Amino acid sequence: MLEIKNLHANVDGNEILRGINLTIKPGEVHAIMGPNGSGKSTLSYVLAGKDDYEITEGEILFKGENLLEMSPDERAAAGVFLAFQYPIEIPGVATMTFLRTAMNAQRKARGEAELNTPDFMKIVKQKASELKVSPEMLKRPLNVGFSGGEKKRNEIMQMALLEPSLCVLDETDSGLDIDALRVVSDGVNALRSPERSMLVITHYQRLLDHIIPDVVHVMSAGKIVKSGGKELALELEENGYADYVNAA
Amino acid sequence: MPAVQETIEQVKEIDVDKYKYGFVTDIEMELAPKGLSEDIVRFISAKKEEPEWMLEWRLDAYRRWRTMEEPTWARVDYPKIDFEDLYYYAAPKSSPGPKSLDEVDPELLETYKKLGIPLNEQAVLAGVEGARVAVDAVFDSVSVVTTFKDELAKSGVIFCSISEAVREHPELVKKYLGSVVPSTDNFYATLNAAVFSDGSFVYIPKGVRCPMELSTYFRINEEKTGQFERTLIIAEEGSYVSYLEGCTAPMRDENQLHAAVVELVTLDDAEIKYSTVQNWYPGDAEGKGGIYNFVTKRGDCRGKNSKISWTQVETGSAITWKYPSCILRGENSRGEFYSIAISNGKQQVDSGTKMIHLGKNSSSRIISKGISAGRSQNTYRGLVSAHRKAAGARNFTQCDSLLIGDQCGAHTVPYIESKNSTAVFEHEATTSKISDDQMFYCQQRGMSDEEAIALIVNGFVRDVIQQLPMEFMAETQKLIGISLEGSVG
Amino acid sequence: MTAQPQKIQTQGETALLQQLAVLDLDPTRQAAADRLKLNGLPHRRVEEWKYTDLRALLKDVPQLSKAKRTAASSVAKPLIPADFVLTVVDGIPQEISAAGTTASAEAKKAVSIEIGLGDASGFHEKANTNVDLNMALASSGFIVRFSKSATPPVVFIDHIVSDADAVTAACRHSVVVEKGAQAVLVERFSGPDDTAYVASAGLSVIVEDGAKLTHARVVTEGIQSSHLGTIGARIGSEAVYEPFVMTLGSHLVRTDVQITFDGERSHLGIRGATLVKGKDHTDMTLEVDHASPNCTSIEQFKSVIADEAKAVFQGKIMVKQIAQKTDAKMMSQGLLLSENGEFLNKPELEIFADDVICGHGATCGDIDEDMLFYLLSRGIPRPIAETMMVQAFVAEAIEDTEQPAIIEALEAILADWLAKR
Repeated sequence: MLEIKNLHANVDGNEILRGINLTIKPGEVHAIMGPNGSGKSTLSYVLAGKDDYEITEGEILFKGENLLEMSPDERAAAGVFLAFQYPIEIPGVATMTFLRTAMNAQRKARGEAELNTPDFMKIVKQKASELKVSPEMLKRPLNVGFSGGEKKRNEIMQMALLEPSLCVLDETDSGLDIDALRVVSDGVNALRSPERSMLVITHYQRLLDHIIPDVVHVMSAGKIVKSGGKELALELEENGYADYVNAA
Repeated sequence: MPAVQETIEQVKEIDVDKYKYGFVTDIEMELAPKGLSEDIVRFISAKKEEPEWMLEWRLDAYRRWRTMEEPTWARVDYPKIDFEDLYYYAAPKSSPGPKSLDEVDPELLETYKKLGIPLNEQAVLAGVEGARVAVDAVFDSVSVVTTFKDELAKSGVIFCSISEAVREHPELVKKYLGSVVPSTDNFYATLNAAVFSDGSFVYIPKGVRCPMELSTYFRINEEKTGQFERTLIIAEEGSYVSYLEGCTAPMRDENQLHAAVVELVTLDDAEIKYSTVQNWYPGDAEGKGGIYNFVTKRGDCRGKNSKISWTQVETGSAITWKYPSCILRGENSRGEFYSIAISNGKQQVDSGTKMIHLGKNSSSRIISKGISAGRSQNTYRGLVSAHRKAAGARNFTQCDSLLIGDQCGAHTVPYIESKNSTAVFEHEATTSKISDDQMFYCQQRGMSDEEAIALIVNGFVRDVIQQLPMEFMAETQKLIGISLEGSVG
Repeated sequence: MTAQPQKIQTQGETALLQQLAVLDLDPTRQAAADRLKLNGLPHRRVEEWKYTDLRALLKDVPQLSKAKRTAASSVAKPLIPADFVLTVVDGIPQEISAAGTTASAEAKKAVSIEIGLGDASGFHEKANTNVDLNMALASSGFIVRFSKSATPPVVFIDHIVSDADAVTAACRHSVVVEKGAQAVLVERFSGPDDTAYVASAGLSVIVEDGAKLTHARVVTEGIQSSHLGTIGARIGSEAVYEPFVMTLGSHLVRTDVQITFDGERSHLGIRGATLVKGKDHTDMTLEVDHASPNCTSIEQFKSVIADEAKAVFQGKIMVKQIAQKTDAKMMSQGLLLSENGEFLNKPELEIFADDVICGHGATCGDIDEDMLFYLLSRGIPRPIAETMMVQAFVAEAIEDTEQPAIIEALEAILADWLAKR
């Protein structure tokens, strides 16, 4: 599904990613943990194609294709979804309008017919209720005035609607209380399937109690310094990142 | 709202003797004949023993000035100035030029002592352990003394009067004088170029962080005398200087004219922090007397990553017409303007800044706090512009006005001009009064009205006070109190 | 600052003064003409015209149209469903035809419409060149009075320039919303792209005590035209005035809006959107005079600038000493879509009363990169995403309009402009 080879990336001349190697097979859920500033969020933005990042070395293959040559919207249409750590507020754009535009744009890019209004409404209502997103929220401008929990539920609802093949979750647990964390995790788990891979980026182990990963990676100073099974997350929770920071 | 009512009444009662710098120094002066002519320009230049090129520069400006008209766009109202009824040169007979400290007329030393200006190099500012400040003291048209010159020279810093710089460092003066504020810039700047009398010159060499605060203290003493000082500060690559300017004048019934020019130049990675505490005599409660302060201050961030920061506390003058500006020419250069302008009595303030973005990724920040009391008019006038090539320019402006009493006015006139789509400008302005709720809360905690207003006003201007050099913060807070005398205890 | 008499007349000035000289003017028009003669057209050194140099921009003032008043032959589709559709051709108001009236009996009772030159009492007393131009040039217009009715009647005035030669089309309407009455007024201005005609559009509005007027002015003139618009409104006590000015750029559009609060506890909500492209030059100059206590006002303007176009916003909120408890908030925002556009913004506060809450905000910049990336990351292609962003930017001003039909009409104009860009 995803193959990252020796990826180096700069922001404003500072090297943030210093040789990432990562392979995710279809159906796998990988977690990346690491201290603040280790480059976790940068990796998620690079995957989604934000243009503040300069790729100096390495490559990313997504379903065998060169991801780095694609624009952000092409990547989305190809099946890459980023759940933002800080979802962007866009005043004046109704959430519903946004969802419809995004879904139809992706369908069009893939050569599929656009959804008609009743079908669209039906599918949105269903996914919204699963993620406890109220109809009133859908009418409001995108993310404007949403609480932290509402924003994150909105992200996962979008993920459910857009049905990507690679889900990148950037600190999806940040700012969530226990109940919201459960709703969001259930939403994510419902999307697990043999065809869909996930990359879960988090600082804390608690999210991984709910979304059980197949592989856990530790990232420090722009590199993956250790990989292991889900028990690695518990070990980190116990001992902190100090050993890895020093090692890097 | 009893508190506010009382304030209004107290402001009405404001008396001239609240201005504590209003005394006159009795000292024998040498004056040029009244009025302005080529001869007067020659007289001033000769008095300063200037080279020919300097005289020519002055004469060019003088001739041009004769063709110019006084600007009328500012929101200030005053009777027409008779430029022929002024003295353009006045110097204490005993001190026609700067001397060493021992040679300075004791009467002058006494004057500065009364003003609280430490001219004695051993003296330290009250309450601040070990803080040393080098001072250039300008009395009417001449610099009477510059302290710590030798010590500064050890780090290569030149700090002297501009007259001395014209004689001793002509290559620097020739290169930079008029390069930021051309002699043709505006009516008052052109007048200044023709007749400027004294002021300070600062040169910070490459890579030097100036070892102490530099300061110029301006005093207008003589009657019917215009003060036209000129200051030039050059910060070479990678250097830094913090400079403070203070001004006072005696209480006189006539208006006195002050038309200064300040030019700042920063080269690559250099920084100048320029602070002003302007406390010219504001006139009495009826608007009689006071200084007309028509000043052109401009900094040129010529080098990349260079920075100029203006901080001003404006409490004095009958009329203030002043827009310290930054030309942000260098890539990544930065301009800042922090201002407190307090007007009381019948004072008129029209002040603000210009941030002219020419360089890529240049940024600027404007924080302006205007406080109007009495029957004063207080206007913020500012320009923020991004030129075609100023990609990535950023500006944030916050202009807040506070009104005390309903006889005064607070006005905001920003010009925001963007010619580059990647420039991002944000501007916010608010006008309000001290809320009754805030007053009540303070009173309930046992404060008098005046204490409460002082507290709230000091809170209102806090963002700007914090930008002042530490040595002057406390002094400024006190000054704000005095300026709002009648409103604040 | 007063303009000095100009020694050298521009072609525009000459054409203007020659025309005025041969007209038989009543004293009011003559007074305006005299002021124009004395001052000439304003240039950039006149503060109010700093960004719009009329001497340079108004190259010619063609002959006033000689069109006759006729019964409106065809009625264009009104912008919103209206009880009365009025037509002005080349500045001449057309007879009110039956075809243009679909009004209910109730609406007919509540609205009186006459053709003529009503008074201009809605404007400020201070002389203003744009107002003077209209005062001197306009010889007629509609005089509309609204009296109390259960539902607000809707009047639509369509201004068309039809002449094949460049003309000057000038008219001034006078609208009074009587005590306790409510009304909706929509004006539209349009004309051909192939002539450099001049439109001078005046409107004097009186909103009496307890009355409410919702008003939209849509300026969609031909690309070579110069549109000089004025709106002068006075608001009584406990009254509400809600205007929206939508401006699509042309060679020159300058709109002067002057609003005065004459009574207490009233509200003004004025909003606007300006869309410019090519080499358009538009200027919205607004002066709100809080001359009475306890009034509130909201001023919200959006400018979208493409290509090499220039948009100017000058907004002044004046709070008189008597106008205690004023609450006024102004916001002017510019969105620059191209490297060579210009946004010139001057929001002003002039405050003489202390117990007030006044503020203004101003922003400008291009489309927010983070927002755009969010849309792209959801698979929305860049052109669509940019269009969404522009729509969202303008929608903030449009969506607060109370009449859904007006919102719909304005959104359609915006979508059309974006599609053609």
